[in-house]
Amino acid sequence: MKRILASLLILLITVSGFAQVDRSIRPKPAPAKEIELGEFKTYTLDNGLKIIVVKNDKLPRVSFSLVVDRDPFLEGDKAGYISLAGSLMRNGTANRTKEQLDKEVDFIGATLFTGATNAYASGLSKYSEDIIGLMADVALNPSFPQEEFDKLIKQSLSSIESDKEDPNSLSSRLFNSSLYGLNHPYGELETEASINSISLEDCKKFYQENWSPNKAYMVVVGDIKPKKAKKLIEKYFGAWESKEVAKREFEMPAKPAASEVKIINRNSSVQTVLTLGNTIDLKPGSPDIVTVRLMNQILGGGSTGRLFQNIREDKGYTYGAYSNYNSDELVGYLSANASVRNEVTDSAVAEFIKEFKRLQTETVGEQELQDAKNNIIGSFGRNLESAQTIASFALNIQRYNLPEDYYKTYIQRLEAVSAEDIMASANKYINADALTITAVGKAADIATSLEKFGTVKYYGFNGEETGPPSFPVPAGITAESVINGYIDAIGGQEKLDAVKDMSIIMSASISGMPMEAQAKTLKKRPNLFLTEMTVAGFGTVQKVVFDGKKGETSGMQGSTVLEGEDLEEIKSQGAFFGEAEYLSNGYKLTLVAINMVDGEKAYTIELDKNGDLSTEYYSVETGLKLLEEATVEGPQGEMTVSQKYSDYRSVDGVMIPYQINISQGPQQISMTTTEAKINSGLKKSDFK
Amino acid sequence: MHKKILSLFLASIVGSAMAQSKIEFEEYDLDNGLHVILHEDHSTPIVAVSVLYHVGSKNEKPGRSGFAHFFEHLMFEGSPNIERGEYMKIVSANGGALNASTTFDRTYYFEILPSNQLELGLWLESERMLQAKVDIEGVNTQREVVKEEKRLNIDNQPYGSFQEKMFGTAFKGSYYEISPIGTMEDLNAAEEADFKDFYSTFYVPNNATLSIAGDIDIKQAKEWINKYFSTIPKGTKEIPRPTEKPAPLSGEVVDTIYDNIQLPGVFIGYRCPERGTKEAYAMDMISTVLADGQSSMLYKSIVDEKQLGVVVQAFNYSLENAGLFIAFGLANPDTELNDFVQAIDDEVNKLINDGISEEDYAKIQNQIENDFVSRNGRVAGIAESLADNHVYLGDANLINTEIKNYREISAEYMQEIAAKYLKPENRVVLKYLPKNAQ
Repeated sequence: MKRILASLLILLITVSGFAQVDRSIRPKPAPAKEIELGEFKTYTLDNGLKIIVVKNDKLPRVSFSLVVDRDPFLEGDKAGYISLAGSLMRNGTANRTKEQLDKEVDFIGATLFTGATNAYASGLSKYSEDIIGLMADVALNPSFPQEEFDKLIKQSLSSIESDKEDPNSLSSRLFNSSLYGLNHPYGELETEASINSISLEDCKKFYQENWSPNKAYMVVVGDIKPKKAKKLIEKYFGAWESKEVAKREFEMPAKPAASEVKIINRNSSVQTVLTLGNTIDLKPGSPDIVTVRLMNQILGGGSTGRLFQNIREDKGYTYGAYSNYNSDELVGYLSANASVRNEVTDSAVAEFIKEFKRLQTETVGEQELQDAKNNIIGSFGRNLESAQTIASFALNIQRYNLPEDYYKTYIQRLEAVSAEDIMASANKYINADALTITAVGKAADIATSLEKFGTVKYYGFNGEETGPPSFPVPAGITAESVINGYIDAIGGQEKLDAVKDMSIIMSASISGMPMEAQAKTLKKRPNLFLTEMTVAGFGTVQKVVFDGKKGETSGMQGSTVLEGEDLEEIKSQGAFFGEAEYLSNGYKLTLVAINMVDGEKAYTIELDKNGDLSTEYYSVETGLKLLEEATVEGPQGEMTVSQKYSDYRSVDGVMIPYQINISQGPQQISMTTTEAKINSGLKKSDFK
Repeated sequence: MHKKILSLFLASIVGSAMAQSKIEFEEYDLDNGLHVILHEDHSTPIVAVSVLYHVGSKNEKPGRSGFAHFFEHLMFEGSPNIERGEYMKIVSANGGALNASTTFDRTYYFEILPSNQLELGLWLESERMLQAKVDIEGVNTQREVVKEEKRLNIDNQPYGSFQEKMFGTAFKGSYYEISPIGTMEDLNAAEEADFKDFYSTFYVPNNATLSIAGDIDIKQAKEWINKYFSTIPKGTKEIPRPTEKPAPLSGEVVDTIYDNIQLPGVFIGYRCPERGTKEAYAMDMISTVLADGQSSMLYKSIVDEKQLGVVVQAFNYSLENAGLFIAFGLANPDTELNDFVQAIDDEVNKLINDGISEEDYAKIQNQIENDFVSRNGRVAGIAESLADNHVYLGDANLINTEIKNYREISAEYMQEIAAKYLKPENRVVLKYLPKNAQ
């Protein structure tokens, strides 16, 4: 009876209990459980092979992972050969053809693969010995069959081919080759040429020189007793003979002095794959590692990182924005990435850099820091669910000579990191003003806006620098529409017709000449023209005049009256806004493409006036003329002459380029307008 | 002689089906219809808390494609007790991880937390079920995020349009026609009334399964579940569930797509029976014999012997009301795609005409066993399988017993089913060619 009452009472309490659930109170955690690291056993065979065993019988499975430790390897003009050598080992041994290997592996439902200096096999634990036997056969007795080699070459070439259109592959190729350089183990790229240079002998030689038990670790995880594992490994790997393996050393790649933007153009892209980062010197076991991990967590370690919160949750620019780092004995990296739609590419880069700098200049709040610590501790705990984690801890301790309790004290060290430590690490490890910024996307849409972050350069698939790409002209745009667009852009025909005279004074600096020059240009309708260049201390160095009837050029070498072709040339120079005549006066115009001019998209028009060829570039965005180019006969043969127009300003409603940069062969002239007037009432007598 | 020994050997290994690591669990319903499944496992101090809502893109109204998935994004926006943007932060700051996914048939949310945070996980999921709050700012931002997700996974990826094209063709005119990501136009069209209606129709306890696995005390867990979920009112609307089967194809459909790719690719989809049927299990096994491992029929023939391509794969994608068996491959640049398709057909016909050897049959038993035992390595996977088996197969315990359904499939039955479904009039062939080949 008492009992019934008691349970009724409990029922009442519980019922009233949930009627009153206060949902506004976030539940508090129960006392935390200690995170326990699982046990592992280690052994060393006589030949030097080290064995690590983590027993876990939750599932009736077992895995064997063989890692041959080695220094990084520069493959040079045969890039790709060491991983090809690794794959080839799986495709034939002294005892089994590939077909036999495939059959035996699949028959027991197992997995087996090999890499340049590693091998992995897993399957049901009841087949442990079959699995290790197969693995030993490919690791110790590879036969490197020619036929399988040929197949792998073919497959490698196909896989390179498929990378060419894959934006993520392009991005990692561009970022790695930019960050480390093409001549570095971490930056070199596999190319068709490098794959075609690989010989079967290269593969054999690599295997013979690098696979040795005294450099190797065998990591066993799963439903197997450590002693049994050791016995099996001894049986199958005990006879493997040790050898001397050459050491290789590499220098730290040079860092850029200022941020650089590197683009691979992909016209079909609707998103830009962005990566920003720099190399870091952070070796495994470094005391800074926990700090950098925390910093990375706060910056972009997941969906609560600042990058994700800002760029996705606040701005909606991307599906995900993250940062990463790695520690490495040679050279590590710190990077951040996102795929963002074309039109917000520059805004996203700006947000990335803003977040980098914020970490460097503002202390992280205590709550944010604690939240990040909790997140990492939580993830540490979650990872321990997999026995592979314990195995990788054990392997790292041996491989990098870490203290035995390195992972046992990990959380303790993490908890000790302060907000100041984070800021110091952000300054030490992030080069916010000297970043490598790579973008794989539609250059026509993104390149211009990326100029503000650093010099923009373009690259091809194999890491080679290319010029700015050109893009197809959209339907409906013609040379005529571009020229008309230009006329509209500088003020419109009506405004231009109202211009009766013009005078422009520019200061000019000429490369290699210490003194300032001044250039004056006067024009008056119909086609009166005067241009005069004076240099302080020398007076007039050159003057060209057309007074409506005759033309004359004068200067330090005396004066000449112009006739024939030269006179015609001067007359055309005197024309007001001569581009309007392109559409009528014996010009042939061809709109070729859209090209980049100083990061700005421009329509490229080829001009043919009675055989005189030149090229002009008109901004897609503003319609203004950006550049004229022509090839002329100079004293030393052909040279390109170009004039760049920029800093357009409105003078009485007409747009005038205040800055003109002229380049003729080696000579560079920079001209800056100091005074521009329209309809100031020039007289005929001013043209003398 | 040799052969006889071999088959004896086969018999012995096939016989030893695994009985190890049985997943124990409890399940019950709350009065409001919420189905609860609990699995206790103390090996790591973590717990997976998940809620499966029985709604996917197939439940969307016409003109609102992509809505179920878009809605999933909005379900992280908060509640009266969780400010906008805080949901993810709370989980992360308490050492947890979370995610969600939407398919044709379901929407699934989960958190993996340190086990002392179980109550927090229950509170979070109950807030989502009871009183999720979505404001216009959240709608607009997430709409952009979803569009980026589409650009990322589909528009900007080589062969990325394959899913849209395949399902759009194979299930034309049915609720499986449009993929869960939806279309940009429909994403833009969603209105406030749609959100309200969707929430009150589908996000109700009687359409949900709460599945928890990990380091829990069952009694304590039940108390908290009561506390946070029992007061959530049962849904009052009828839950629309299309049950009519999509109409069969009226003949083979072949389509060529010119994409930004370098390697020609082919995707072949055969219409198949729905999930949980004996025929679907047979199709799973057919995909194993055709494409699992380098000794599989397709890999051996196409990659190793004929060297027509770099990849060839096959899998059986079973849905609630239908299925699609998909074989695909990427050819070498100089391979004629028709030769590739022919090579696939040759192997499929071999299977249909010659059947499966005793040895191959034993092999796939081992492969399936290996897959089966590997599934339950993590509590998050266990929670998901339990919920999934309950909702779509009507029996959570299949997590322990499903392998029997495979064991019951004979080699002869596989041959019969292959002949029934893997035929040209029942398929869609999508050929992907490089744009510059156009």
